[in-house]
Amino acid sequence: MKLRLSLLLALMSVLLFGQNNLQINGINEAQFVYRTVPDSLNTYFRNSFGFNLGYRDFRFGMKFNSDLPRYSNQETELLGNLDANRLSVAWEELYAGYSKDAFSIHVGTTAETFGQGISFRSYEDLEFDEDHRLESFLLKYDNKLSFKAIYGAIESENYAGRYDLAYGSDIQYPVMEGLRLGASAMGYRNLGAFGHYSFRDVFATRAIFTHGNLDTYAEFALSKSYRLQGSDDSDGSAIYLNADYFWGDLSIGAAYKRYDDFSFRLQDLPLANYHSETLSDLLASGLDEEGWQLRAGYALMDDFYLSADYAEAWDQSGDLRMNDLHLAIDAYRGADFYQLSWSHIEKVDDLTRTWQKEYYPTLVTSFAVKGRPLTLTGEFKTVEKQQGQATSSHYEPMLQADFGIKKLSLSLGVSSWWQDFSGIMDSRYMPNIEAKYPLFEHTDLTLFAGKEAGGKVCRNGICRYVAPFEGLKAELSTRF
Amino acid sequence: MKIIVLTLILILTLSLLAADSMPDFRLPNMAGENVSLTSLLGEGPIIIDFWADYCQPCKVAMPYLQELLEKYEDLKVVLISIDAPRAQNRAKNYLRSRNYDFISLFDPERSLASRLNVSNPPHTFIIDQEGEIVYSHVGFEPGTEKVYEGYIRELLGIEDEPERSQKEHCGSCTDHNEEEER
Repeated sequence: MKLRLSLLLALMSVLLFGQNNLQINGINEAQFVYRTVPDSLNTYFRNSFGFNLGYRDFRFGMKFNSDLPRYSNQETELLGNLDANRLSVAWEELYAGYSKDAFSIHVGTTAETFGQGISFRSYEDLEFDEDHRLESFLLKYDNKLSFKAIYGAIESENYAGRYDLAYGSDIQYPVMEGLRLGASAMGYRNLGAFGHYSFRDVFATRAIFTHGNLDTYAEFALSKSYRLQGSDDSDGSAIYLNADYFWGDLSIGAAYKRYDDFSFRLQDLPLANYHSETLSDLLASGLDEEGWQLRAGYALMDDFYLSADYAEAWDQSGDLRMNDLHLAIDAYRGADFYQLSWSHIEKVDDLTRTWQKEYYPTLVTSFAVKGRPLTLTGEFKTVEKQQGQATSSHYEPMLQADFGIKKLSLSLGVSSWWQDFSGIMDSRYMPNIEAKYPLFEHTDLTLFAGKEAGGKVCRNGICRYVAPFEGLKAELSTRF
Repeated sequence: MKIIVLTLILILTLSLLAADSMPDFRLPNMAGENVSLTSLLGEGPIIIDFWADYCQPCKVAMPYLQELLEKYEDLKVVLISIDAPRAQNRAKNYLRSRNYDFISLFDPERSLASRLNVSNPPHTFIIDQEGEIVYSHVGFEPGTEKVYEGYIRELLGIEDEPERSQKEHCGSCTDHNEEEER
């Protein structure tokens, strides 16, 4: 810690003398949470303080998070008693970098992707509140030729304080006008359940062709897993193809995927469907799946835009199948905006004799009432399930209104869960209200009260991912 | 605790001394070619808007940004998508099918976004032709574009229209979430 502090002080002292070339910005977010669900703690406090420094070609950044204690996104992980392990006060992000011309070096917490993320992706998953970023050394050369080399570690999923390793490189070069070819090689060393390291090597090639109105992408990857505990070596493969063509007001596109034993932690496979749905809710993507996607869009008289997107996927045995449909019409009328869409997702598993279908229309409108903007969002989801001979269905309606009164932004929402229409009055409702107010020039206060199901929410003109919640939240956000 | 307090004081002191300039960047465009900040500077004000395909308010903002682009010849509008690589196709298709004249860049690793503390889209910056940040704003509601226009006119040296002076009056733009005049 002393070394870290000394480095920090030395760096800042140097920067002070050259402050004309210094860039600095940061954010502090303090959040107080009171949960009304059964939980012995009820109250949580979190503070996140992050800053970034830039000086000539150097950059440096840190984020300090304190969770007192850490608030879990999982209902099953509610704390019965105060757990000392949940109290955390630490620098959770730390990096330093140097860039000059086409070269750059980055050391520390790293987000990086090779190609589309099939062979390697180190990233923070905000949707599921998971951090898959490596602590690494990354070297980049990015000019006509693009080259990346990385060596890093990430904490093991099986052992706290021990690490998985990842290392490899990626190269891409424009061989002719519009055509770029690339290749990646990665090695993964993963710590297994019994303290044994298993190995996986991944090799991938890709071609990207862009010419006029045509965009195409193709990637093919192979992997070999060995030194596995309790099982034989295995080979995996991945194929992903995508093409889009724009012809005046009409656009058409198609994608194809085939993944076989190609699932590992540091990757982010393209799923080739509109809603980014997995083939099965119970299995990780990439184990065994194949599928295609077709999409089209048409702009009508500049005021309307129609789009359609359909995809199917299945496994080799045909026991698992899914389809995904999205239809939408966007309309612009002066400053007003209307969007009506239809979503449909269906999944079948013949082995467990389960079937699930959900479909929902969504309406988003944004217009002015007496000169003040009002945004209304409505969704009505129907979910039907079958397991063996047992069938069930329910409805999940949602309504939200966003508007402003002077500098105060307000969002009122309610969602529910209806078994059937006769039980509407007795059903569970989740009302909520969020108010946002700029207290000072750089400081916002946000208050939330109520219940919400979690996931991606767009309120008061901002989109973010949130955990399922019931209670009160107060957040003070300051930028400098 | 002493370390934290000391660090905080140092950073805050530095932030008072530091310039509010946009960090230089090199990000790929639709065709996969790198575009740097340096190549965009020098001709007039620039609106840099961080967006994502899943962000409805971002999409609501686009026609307004296009309108500003058409109104002010020296203005550039740079849209930076923070979508994950697997969602980039959707973001590209959305922009291409709507014939916007924006400069569209992609920052899937959030390398620039994290340096500017951009976490929740939309997050918009207005910079002058030297690259200094004159305004930033989180969120978008119709009416916010009038605030943007106020800053753009100021940077272009255009005198206020009688009904304007949005920064002071802000009739229908009451809902902006953050106003950072630096």
